Amino acid sequence: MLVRTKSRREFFAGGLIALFGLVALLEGRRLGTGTLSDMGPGFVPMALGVVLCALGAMIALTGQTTDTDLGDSPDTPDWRGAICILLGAVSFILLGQHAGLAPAIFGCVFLAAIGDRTTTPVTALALAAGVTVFGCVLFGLILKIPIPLLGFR
Amino acid sequence: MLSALSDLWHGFGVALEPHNLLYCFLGVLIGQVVGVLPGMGAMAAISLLLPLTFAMKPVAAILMLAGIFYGSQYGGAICSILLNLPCHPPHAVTCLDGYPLTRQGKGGTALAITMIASFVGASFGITEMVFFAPVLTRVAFAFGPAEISSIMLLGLLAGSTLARGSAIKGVAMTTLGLMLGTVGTDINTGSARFTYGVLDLYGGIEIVALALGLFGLAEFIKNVNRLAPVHADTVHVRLRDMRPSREDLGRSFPAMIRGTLIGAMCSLIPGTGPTIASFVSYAAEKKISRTPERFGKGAIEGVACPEASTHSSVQGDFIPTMCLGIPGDAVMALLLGALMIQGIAPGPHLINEQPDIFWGLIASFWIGNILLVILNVPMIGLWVKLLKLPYRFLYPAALFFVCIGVYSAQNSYFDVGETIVIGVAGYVLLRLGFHPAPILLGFVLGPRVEENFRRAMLISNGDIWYFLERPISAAVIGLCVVLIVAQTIFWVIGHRKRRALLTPAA
Repeated sequence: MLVRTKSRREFFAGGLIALFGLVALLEGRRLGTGTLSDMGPGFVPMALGVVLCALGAMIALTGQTTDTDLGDSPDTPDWRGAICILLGAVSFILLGQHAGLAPAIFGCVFLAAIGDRTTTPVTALALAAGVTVFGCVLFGLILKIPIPLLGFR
Repeated sequence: MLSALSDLWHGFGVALEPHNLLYCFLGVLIGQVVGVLPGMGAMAAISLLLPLTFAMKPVAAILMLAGIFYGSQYGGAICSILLNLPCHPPHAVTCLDGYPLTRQGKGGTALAITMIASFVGASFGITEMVFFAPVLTRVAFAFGPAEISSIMLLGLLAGSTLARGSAIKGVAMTTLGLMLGTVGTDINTGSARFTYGVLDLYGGIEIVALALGLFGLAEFIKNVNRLAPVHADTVHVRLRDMRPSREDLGRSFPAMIRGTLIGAMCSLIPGTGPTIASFVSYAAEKKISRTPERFGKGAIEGVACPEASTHSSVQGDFIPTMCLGIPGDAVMALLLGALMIQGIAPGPHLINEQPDIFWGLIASFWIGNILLVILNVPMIGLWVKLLKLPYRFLYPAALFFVCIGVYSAQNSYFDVGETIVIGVAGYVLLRLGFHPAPILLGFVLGPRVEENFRRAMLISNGDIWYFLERPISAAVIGLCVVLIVAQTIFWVIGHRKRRALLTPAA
């Protein structure tokens, strides 16, 4: 069973690399490769694309035996944590652009904090408030980052 | 020989200037903190502080960023010896004997020996750099574009195949990094590559966004709700527990020397960083020991030897980075990126044209290492307390630092979005069993490989055999071939062994 899931993983891994290779090949062809003595802008992307496709095929085919440490990748992603972290980062962009530095920090830290299954909303609020004060003082007042502390747009 | 010493003297003058000293201290302090905290890495810390250094003088910037790197090696030892948590790969070996020593109540002694070993190793590594770097630089002046491209190829191959995990996946990551490095406007022809009409991509991918996506965001997503809470309540180390006995010192001193020499040798082979040095030296120490059965159960030599070799190779790793402009691993690539942002072209010219940076950096290594010993020994209680900071408070705050760090690199929200995309991609790669560190290596070297390759092809009028006609270049290409063949042979042997293991079970 283990061997099976592992080889499927290797198959996807190789496929992904080959996909990157394909993207590079297309871009290389669009730009024009030129010749060795007179290289076009697409020469290097094209070469990298060929290498990536070959590597992808090798990973997919030799699969299940190449990898030595499985311990690094957990079996299933933690969706709640992952989504909260990403929302936190997105909220930093949106709030930073439209509401100012303080709301951006607060939103980012609070959303990321509730991604942990043991953190209660109250703890998350307290953590977010603390980091917001610290962040506003350090980045807003001392380092003078060009985002207004509060400024709704 | 004498000129190296007088240059070093000049370096101490630079490094001891008050503001440089301050930044060096700040660097090692941040490195120490980051090294102690479980789930945080030196890579993330260096990339976080990178935007801050844009406004600083180049000398101060590089002293601080380098300080974070070797400072985190000291901090990581505390985490691995007291809690059996190898936060950084080179310390995986230190855990083997360090943790049993802690359970025997000798954790303090192990830490003290670690500090001494680190200092001995680092001092030797620095000395190696002082005398070896000028020689290497003189040789490097004879290099043309062909030699530089070949050496870079060797560096990329070694950096990706000798690192952790599967060699072929490492090469794939390096190649991906090279591809990411071509994004943006091509310097030779002015055409936009991989930009797909997005104006913000014309300047290329922001290095801070790439590094923090891969080593910040992707790591948070991997660790959230997965990192087991640390049980450090039982760990108490006070200053007076740290004094090693005469017997411990006697045992570990020869081990330190052997570890140092192995580390120094490893650092001269491109791509074999501290991790490999620590494994090799531990294996060697166990082999020559008269009592190999003590290893793994709390042998003090098993702590002293790998720590000395780690630090010796950490310092030695700076040699190819500073002299040839060819980094051996991702951390060095990032430091090199920092230099290039400052407008300093790395390479053999650096040592003569920017003596302040080169010799100041070397002198600061010594000062930084002394600062670290001072930081570690009396304040050990504080660091042990820091270990108990839970990850669930750490990562939300760190996420904010990542966002603001990337933003401040160019005051651009687009770069923050870039980080999110790279972070998700980095997590997918981690899940598929890739180690993303070589991406950064490829990314930093990519544009320079292309530039030199193009130049070589222009000189030779498109003759690809030019690389084999020049003797140094041909020798380096030969090394690349040896590396690939050796990796393939190892793979086939390993493959057969695993087959043999699997057959009776099936």
